[in-house]
Amino acid sequence: MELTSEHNHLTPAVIRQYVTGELSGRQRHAVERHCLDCPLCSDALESFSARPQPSFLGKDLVELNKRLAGRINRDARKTRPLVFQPWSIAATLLVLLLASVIVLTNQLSRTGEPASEALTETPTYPDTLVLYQRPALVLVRNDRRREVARQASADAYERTLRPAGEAKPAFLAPSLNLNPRPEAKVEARNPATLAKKPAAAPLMEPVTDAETTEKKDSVPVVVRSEAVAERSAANAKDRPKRVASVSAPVTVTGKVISAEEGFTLPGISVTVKGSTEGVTTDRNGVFSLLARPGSTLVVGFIGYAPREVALNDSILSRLPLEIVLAADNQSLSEVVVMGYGANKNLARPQPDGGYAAFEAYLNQQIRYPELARQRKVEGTVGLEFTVEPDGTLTDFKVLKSLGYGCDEEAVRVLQQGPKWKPSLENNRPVRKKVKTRIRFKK
Amino acid sequence: MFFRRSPRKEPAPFEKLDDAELIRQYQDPDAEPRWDVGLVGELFQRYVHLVYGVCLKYLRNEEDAKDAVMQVFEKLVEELKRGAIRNNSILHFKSWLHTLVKNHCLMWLRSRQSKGGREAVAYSFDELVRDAGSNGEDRLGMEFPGTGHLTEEETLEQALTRMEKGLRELPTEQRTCLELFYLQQKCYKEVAQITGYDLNKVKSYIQNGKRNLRIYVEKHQG
Repeated sequence: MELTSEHNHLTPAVIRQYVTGELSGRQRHAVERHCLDCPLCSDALESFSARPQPSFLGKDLVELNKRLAGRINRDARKTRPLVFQPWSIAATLLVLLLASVIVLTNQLSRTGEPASEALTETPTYPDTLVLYQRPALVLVRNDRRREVARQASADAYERTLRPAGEAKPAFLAPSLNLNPRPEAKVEARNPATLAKKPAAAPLMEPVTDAETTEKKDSVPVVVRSEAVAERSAANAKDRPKRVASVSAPVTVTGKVISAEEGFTLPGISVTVKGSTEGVTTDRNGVFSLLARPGSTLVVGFIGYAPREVALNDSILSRLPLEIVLAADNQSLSEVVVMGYGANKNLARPQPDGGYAAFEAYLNQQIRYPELARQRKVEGTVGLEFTVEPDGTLTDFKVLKSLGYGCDEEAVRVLQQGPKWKPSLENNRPVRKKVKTRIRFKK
Repeated sequence: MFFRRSPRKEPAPFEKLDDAELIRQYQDPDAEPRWDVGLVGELFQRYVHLVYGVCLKYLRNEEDAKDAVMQVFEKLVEELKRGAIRNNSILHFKSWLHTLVKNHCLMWLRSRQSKGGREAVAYSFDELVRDAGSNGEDRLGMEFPGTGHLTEEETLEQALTRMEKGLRELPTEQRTCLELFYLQQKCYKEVAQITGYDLNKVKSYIQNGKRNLRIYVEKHQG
């Protein structure tokens, strides 16, 4: 299998397979070996390996590529004249008009209009919306929708349970097919689907349904990510109702705190063990997610020892949780301490006694070659030589020659001169090349 | 479909071009249109997942990382326009890009730190600086020790002997890990299983062992 693309770097597919452990030992070796020589790939791989969500690359990459394409098109549009076609203008206007109508009606129903009014308004626009909404919604029949809408207006808080940006058709579709009256259907549901979607469990159905309807209403104003804080506030309100049933998922809220410094930790991942459900803590270290009692939460991040919290009754009675993470020195890959920007060589070689003394020595010792004196030659000789670890000078090379015996004289003076202090690297003397210039002037 | 623009020239099949050619065409003074950002887009698109990974490593937050990726793209466009990288240095494009991304993250963290105190700066500044120092120039354009440095009078045989000698002088852990990894082509996980060392230990043994070996070989050359 080709591990790297033709451009010689790891492809997203390989990274994913590496992280999920689908590669054979030999293939893993090839990836690791490549990473040893390629900081870009190795950094990326390291960071993806530390991510708990297996979906890391797909979703984010799609978004990034979309943003990138948008950016490039924006530029392209600047350079190329844009010719409008009349009906594309008309279509845009139509969409804008629809959007504003929807925003207006939505605001009306949001600002506490009586439930009955929201009801009468619901059937007037859904069909146009379906045009550019998720295809799954088409499944909803009108009568169902009305029923759902009633619940939506009755319980306006519920809709904030899930951030709008997170909703996926795959997740919504099954719940839409269910009877909106929850208790009647609890036993009838297939346990397999229950296990697959802990967050969409029976008691949640009215909520998700209501949310769907609500989202339909608010299509143009879909907020990409609602504040987590708001979400958890809403969740806290719902909680007492749900704890009643043992197997139903409950909203677990909590805070993650660092053991050493005691401050809250943002960006920590909190996942339900054995599932793909997970959230990260917000900037205040607060998280909130739906989990089934009896399941286990895994809390962790690079540099911290992961912790597992079993959701038993005693834990659940003490919400919100306070989870303390201790730094885990072992889990960090070894870091080599080095000065940043500074030269690796802590000490450059220099003459014993310093340059001033060295210059004095040169002035005193150097003999102007006879030939050069006669020809009135002046100038500098450029020399390169190696300072050995023991301080002796070897490997003289003339970089800039003056001739007439000057080069030889310069080498002689240096060779017979004082020893040099060798270059130090990590406090050990090493060989080092030095360049210097010797001036000949009358 | 409503927004299709007037028909325009088919874009050049950028996918077929290699990195160097993309950069060359972008910088080509006779190109039409001049500074076609699509070229850089194609180039960046090849590395975007890696750039994202690096940003994620330093910023530790998906949203920030995504924003950073887009900013890095702008930077790349600018740098290429300035002629920061020319055809002859294209071999180092990856290292160069890595440095660009890292520096960007560094600047981002620095500005964040001075603005809003310590909030959300999970990866502390010092840590980053150390990290940056540890692999920047160290790995740039690096070959496995011994190759690339052969002088005429020195045969491959001698180089190999020297390397073997260097290998023997390494600490036991580093030597075993290096042998298993390079000679027997085991992956980290297998090395960890065979030796019983921790996985992260194995990684650092291999990295350090390789570095030490290189230093040894360079020192005893000639």
